[in-house]
Amino acid sequence: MMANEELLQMSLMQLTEGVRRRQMTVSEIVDAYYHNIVRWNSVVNAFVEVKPREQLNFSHEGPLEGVPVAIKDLYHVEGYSTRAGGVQYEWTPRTDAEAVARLRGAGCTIMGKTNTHEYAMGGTTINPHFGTTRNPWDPERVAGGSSGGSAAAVAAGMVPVALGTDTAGSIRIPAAFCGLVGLKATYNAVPLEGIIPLSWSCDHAGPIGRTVDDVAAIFSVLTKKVRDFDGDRDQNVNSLRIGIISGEACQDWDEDITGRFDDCVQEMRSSQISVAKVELPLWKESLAAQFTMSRVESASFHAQWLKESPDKYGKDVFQRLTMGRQFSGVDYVNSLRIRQLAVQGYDTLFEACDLLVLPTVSILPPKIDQIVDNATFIQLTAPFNLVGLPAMTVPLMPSTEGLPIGLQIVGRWGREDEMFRLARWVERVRGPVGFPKTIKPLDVL
Amino acid sequence: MKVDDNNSDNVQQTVEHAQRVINAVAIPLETAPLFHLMCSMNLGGVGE
Repeated sequence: MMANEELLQMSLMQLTEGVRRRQMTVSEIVDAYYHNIVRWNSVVNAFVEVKPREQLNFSHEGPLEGVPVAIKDLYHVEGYSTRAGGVQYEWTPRTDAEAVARLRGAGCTIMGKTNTHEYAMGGTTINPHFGTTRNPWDPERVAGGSSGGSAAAVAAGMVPVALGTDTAGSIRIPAAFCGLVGLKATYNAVPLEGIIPLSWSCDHAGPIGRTVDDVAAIFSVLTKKVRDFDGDRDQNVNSLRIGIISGEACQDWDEDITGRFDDCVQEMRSSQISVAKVELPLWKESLAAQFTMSRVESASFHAQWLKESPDKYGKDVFQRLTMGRQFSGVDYVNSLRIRQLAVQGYDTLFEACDLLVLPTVSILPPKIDQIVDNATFIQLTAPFNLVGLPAMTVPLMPSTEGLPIGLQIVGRWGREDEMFRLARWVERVRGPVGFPKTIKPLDVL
Repeated sequence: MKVDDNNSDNVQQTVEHAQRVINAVAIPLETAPLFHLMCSMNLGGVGE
């Protein structure tokens, strides 16, 4: 029998290999993680629904046999309530969302549903109905959002990987705030069937995990691709041309974030990686277009509830939906036309480079009672939802206070493999992140 | 750009700000609305 501490530090590949070689059982793996859910969820509030241990359906054989996963409460999961972080409706589906079905089919064990900002419409996961998800690195701070429960669950050692959704940064922001790797895959690469929509044309799905290899393994199963699951072991980053963000989007960054980002760029230069400054095409305009489209589309989805039971929304989400009803049809169509221009701009940008790097968020995770406008969270992430390009976050060295900082890597359409290659290099240069010191997932009672 | 949507007093102001930014873009006449992202990409769709 293997110690919990050992199990919790293993990669997905080590876990599945261990099960195959009979060095451990699926039951032991589930027990180790379930132990942390029981122990830490009252502090972190990552999960909104967990079945009793004896009711967990164990997996069958598959490439991810024995891997526990958590699912954001926007996805349908058979036998669990879908509430999407709100109280307008509750439904217990008989089938899984397609992404969940693929994970289950690969042998994963579903551990439960995780908290989200109400209807995924905000960056903090301060939820008026299901409580605030706290950041395991500092429980006085937000975990980020909207997939805050998924990120906090991974950071607190409750699961090794979790699924999130991302319409303006909702996978990347909480992953960055919690010291994790998070992937918003190329638009529609991870199927959206069975996920409650926020904005049909900006919604993306993807995994959050502790390492690039773990996230790549889940991505491979979600997209039914084999290449990255076996590990795109080409570690040569010197053939990649990296675009470094410059210009207007670089204003108002936290000092620590600027410092860690500059250190990383300097390390690239020292390692003979080709770097060149680039500017985000139509940055301000993309933010305004993404804002308009996502607000209008969400107001459309919520139209009936807005009419019949507006009092069931939290204040911030109600405001955001109200905004969506105030834009005109011309505003929406012009946003679609700006999207076309932005797509062309990124096509041109990616002729000169293979990957683009920038910080994931321009601020450190704020205190829970600190008021930060939502636009601050998403100013560096939302443009890539507008154009559908893949984007991921990988941890850099922490801030002087020990808080996580994320580096965002953006790739060309469908080229997650190139992103993983650079992200693995960042991991190697940085060294392991480990677990938070406040929450101690490795402590065995 | 700060599109402040946390402040309830600011809903109208936020919408108007976004409208000003959108409508200030000189969109070439031939630029059609992009309804589906994958149609627009000249890179062969998802995941090669």
